[in-house]
Amino acid sequence: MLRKNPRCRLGWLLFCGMFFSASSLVWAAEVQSPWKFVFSLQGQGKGMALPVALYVDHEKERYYVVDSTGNKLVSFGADGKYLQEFTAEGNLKKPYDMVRLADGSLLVVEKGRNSLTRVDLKNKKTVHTVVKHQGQDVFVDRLEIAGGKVYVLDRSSGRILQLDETLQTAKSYTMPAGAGWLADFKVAEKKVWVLDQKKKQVYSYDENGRPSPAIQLTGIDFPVSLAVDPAGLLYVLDRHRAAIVAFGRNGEVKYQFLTKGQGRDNLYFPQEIRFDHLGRLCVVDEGNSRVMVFKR
Amino acid sequence: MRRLFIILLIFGLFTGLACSVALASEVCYKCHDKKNFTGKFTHGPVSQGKCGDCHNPHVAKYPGLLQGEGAALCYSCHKRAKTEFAKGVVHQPVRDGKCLGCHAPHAAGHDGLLRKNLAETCFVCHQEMAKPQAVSHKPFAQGQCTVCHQPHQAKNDQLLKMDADALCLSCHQQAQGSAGHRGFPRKLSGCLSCHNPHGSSRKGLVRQHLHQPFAEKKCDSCHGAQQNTGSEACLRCHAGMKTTMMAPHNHMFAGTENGCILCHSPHAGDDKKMLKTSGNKVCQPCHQDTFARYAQSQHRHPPVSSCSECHEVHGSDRLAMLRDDGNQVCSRCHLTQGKFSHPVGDKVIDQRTGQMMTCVTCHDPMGSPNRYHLVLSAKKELCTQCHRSY
Repeated sequence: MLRKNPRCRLGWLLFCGMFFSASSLVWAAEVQSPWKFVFSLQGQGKGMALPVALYVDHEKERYYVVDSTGNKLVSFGADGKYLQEFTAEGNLKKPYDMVRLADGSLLVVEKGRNSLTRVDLKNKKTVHTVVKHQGQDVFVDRLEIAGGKVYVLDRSSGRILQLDETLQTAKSYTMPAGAGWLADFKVAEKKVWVLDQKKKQVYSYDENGRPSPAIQLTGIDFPVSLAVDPAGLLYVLDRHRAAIVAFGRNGEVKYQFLTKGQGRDNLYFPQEIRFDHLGRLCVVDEGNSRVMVFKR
Repeated sequence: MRRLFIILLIFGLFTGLACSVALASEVCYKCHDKKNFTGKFTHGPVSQGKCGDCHNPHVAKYPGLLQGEGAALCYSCHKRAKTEFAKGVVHQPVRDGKCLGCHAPHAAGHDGLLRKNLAETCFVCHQEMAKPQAVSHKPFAQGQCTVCHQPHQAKNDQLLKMDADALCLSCHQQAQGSAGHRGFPRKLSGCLSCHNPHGSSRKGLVRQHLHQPFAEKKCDSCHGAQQNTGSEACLRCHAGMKTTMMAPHNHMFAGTENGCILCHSPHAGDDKKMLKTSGNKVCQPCHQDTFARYAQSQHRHPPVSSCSECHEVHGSDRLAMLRDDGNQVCSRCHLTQGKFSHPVGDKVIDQRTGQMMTCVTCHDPMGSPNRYHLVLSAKKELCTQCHRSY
């Protein structure tokens, strides 16, 4: 009938065309997340109370989870197995973030003291420092280390500060006029990437402090953390939606994954995301007392 | 022949319609006193005797024999309003579909079918506004609320017709050079930071409580090159506040400006805390998604006077900045549930998370599609999350 009737043939061609275009549209709209759950980092015994940050030691291939309410740091091996807990002999007060310095000592943000605390593990020595910038107390928050340099987010002035070995300010990154407030930052690709929670924007600065145009994020409610993927995407953790949203470098939404709850693919009041030494994406899930690790 | 049939059909329709109109007004008013349906301003369908536009004379799903429920019925004619009233900041009765909260459906003595005059209509809900003030803003004193506010929806917070500063300066252009603003370091802005737009006991509508340095005209205490920047400008004196913010979850926010003044007015306020606005409104600009979820949820905790009844406002060690653990914060009001309920507390551990069971393990007070604002449906998956053998 198709051969004989040209009208019928045209109709058939039109139907096929519409079917394929509709399929491609559906495919484009539902880009699947490539991330698959690998394992969770969970403490032993009473576990972790409220984990708030993760530090990945790329050299030793270890994870350190900062448990703020438990006043402890919990370490895990590369396979996610629990190693040990560290409390600095009960001397940590509301730890919030940490990094490991080149000499092997730990640098811990203690919210309870508003200090950057250097923990010398070998000599069992702990030194608390209230960092100053331009004569004012720095309200220490998120902490990063990259290329041997330590960076800290100052919640009081709304700046990212680069610190020298004596914890004095070596460089300051000031946000553009009219910026909201800062929730998180990461150092990647020789740039400092800063997440503005209020404006839902990402700012980036090169090593000389030169800014790139801000990236406007859409389709998110309450961004709390970001991670920069060398493959070209920006990942933003939305605490209220309990989801991770992947953005292109121009701010276009690529896909999102995870939902609110207590199951394997759920988050409950998540706090931070970061990449580990194998390029796996880790989520600090405060409300579920765990860190979830996903691989592509 | 075909044409004749069409003409007859149209004629028949018109005649039928006219009869039904006459029928409606005649038949309905036989029992329902016509006086109750007439006034200075009458709703279009009522004046045309089209009772059947809204009511079914025989049987209906909804009280009052209405054809539809709430705003849905109104929007069946006021189609443009449905789209318009969903944009931007929406007045709560509009959002809840309660058109009849302000408007009379049949007739009224006031324009726009308002039940009372404009100000009295507003004061039905905004009762605190009705309190007499020593000094009143002229439009407010004259009951002209809509000089500044939109009644249904607006682009701006507080349903303001335009940005607050632009709105003030649209009438008060002379304020730029007035004695009260002498020495103001830049173009006038942040008017509501010092002035109450409705009324005050102070001259010039300056808010009731003054920040001490402002009252003593010691501007240099906070301003000036020698002073601290960001939140430190406040925390230098209010050191105790800094301690409360030394917690994993805190409201120490700073961008390019002082974070404290996101919530507090630095010069004058209506209460001792000198909050920029009252009750929950102070939290709304930053937590819009939470307020939207609360507003749109079918089941939610009844409204409370202030978010701070459950949440800490400066800093907290707990999730969601709760004032206490997820049991204590609820059992302050829900006394019985604190004693007789599903086991909760530090001896009952949620196997999924390793954390103690609390009220918020199962309930989400900020809103849920499930009864009792449960996080999941009690009929389906809520209990089996933990009780798997069921």
